[in-house]
Amino acid sequence: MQFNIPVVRDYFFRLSLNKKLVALMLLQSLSIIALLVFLYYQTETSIYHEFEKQIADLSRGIQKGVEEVTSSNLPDENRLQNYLKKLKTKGVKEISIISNSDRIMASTDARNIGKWLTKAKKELIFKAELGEPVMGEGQLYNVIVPVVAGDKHYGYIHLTLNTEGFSAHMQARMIKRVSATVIILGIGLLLSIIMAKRYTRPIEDVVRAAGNVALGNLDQEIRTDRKDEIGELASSFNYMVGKLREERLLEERLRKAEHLAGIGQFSLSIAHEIRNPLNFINLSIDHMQKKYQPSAEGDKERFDSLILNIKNEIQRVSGFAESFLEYSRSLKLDFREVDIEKLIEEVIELVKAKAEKEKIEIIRESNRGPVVLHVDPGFIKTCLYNIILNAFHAMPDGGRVSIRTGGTEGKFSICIEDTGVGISTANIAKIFDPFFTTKQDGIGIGLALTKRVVEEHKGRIEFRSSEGRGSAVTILLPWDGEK
Amino acid sequence: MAVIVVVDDERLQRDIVKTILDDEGYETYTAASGEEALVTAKKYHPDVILADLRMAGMDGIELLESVQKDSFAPTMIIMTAHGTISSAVEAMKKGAFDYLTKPLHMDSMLMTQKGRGACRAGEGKPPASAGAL
Repeated sequence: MQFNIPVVRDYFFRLSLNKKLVALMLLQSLSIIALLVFLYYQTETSIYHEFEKQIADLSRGIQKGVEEVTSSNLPDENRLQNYLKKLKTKGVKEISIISNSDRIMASTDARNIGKWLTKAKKELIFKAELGEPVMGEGQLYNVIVPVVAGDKHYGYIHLTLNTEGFSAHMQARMIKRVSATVIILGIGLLLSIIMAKRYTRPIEDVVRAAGNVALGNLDQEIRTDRKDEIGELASSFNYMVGKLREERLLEERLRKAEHLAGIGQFSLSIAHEIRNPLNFINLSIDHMQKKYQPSAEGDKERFDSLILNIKNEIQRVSGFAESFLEYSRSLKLDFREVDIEKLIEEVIELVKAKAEKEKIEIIRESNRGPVVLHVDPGFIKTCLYNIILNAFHAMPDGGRVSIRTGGTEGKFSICIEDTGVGISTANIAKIFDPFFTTKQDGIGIGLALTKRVVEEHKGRIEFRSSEGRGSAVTILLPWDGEK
Repeated sequence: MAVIVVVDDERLQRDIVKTILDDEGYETYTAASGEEALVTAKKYHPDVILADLRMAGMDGIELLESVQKDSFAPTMIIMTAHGTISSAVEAMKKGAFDYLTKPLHMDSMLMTQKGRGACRAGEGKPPASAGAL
């Protein structure tokens, strides 16, 4: 398999930050374990060498001892046997003395005395004669040393050493060390995964939020209490989105203003186009009334009544153009400290005659004294007047209008409720749109203008209605509480 | 009787105002634009110019500014189809005698003319607006 470096590099770069961190940790862990294993084998080899050296020293010591024992001309097998027994130490499995005729003369293992050497052992003896190191087979370590006293060759000493314990001990230690390392590295890896997640999750949040922002959803806010770079990233992201939100708000306002300016231009030309002909008609009518009065008595009255009706209708069309202009004109509010309760009384006073004529009962519900609000009295009066007239209009056969006022901390509410025909659910959403109307002779400016005025006061207007049962309009205005 | 120039870019408007004023016994001339009104004013030295605010070319306020430079300085009355407080204030500040909102009523228009006459007779300051706003 060909090892393609750019491909591997690209693959690594393409990994998510999370995986990259984990991969780095894993690589580090593996190299530490490899290093540990390598060090272990080095240590084992060096300890083994040390062990060999010590064994060689021991063998030489035994050799000297045997030479002394044998050179004292007491070649007594029993004495040899006693000497061997004294030598037997821990780790030494068997010590034998072998005669020149390949027979075991003495051994710590009594069963082997008098036995002939096996073929394998003989080969070891040859090796020993040639001066080569005699290594063990399996877990047993065999050392064979020739015994020479003066010129006389007496035989060999055969040492069988047990390396099993030593090896097992070393291995157990290595396993312990490696598993401790693995556990520590595992914990490290786990921690680094958690850390990586902790680091990358806010980044993922930012990525997701940025995606949402790109889709046009600006209600994004990344919540984090971190103070590091991630926290900074989140806060600058929030700042950016905040700026975008502000900009969008401005844009919306601008669009609205442009729209109104458009309506403004439109209404100006409408006013001009309507009022100029009206002007001509009005003046002509006045002139006709003065100049061309019929002489017959009955005709004169009829003529005057017709003229009056024409003039009234001219006033109505002119008023239509005026209210059209009023909506499109930007509102210039003249805020004053006003007793709203008194203002409501004034409006009721204005509509009282009309209410009596149309058999409408006005119920005023208020249980407080003067309430001072910071409003434009003229505009608020017009708004209330509009709403009350709308209510009257909804009750062609008479009914009841209740005007309730009340205040909670921060808001003062004026609720105007009627028992009229109400408005269908489909139309409720449209009632505040300019030029929407259910009246035959209305132009749909009243409530739209009212809404604008209330909003300019930083207030809110709400509308509830059920068809056939009546409607309720609630105006909420900012209030500093009772004074 | 006083001399009046009626300035409006719509013929019907000029004609009906002229008809009424003629009928009242004023000596009335008409002009279709601000520029034409200046020429007419130079010719007849009117006492009153009754001008529409919104006209193509020279509008009512510009005409007002121009005639005030003339030595005979006629009284200016501005008419408009869309009265705003700011335009009325501007006209009055610049020296208009009154400001009328269309549709005009014959009575209020004639009252204004008469008010002006009284003012001129007394050679005093113009009286407060006749309340046509």
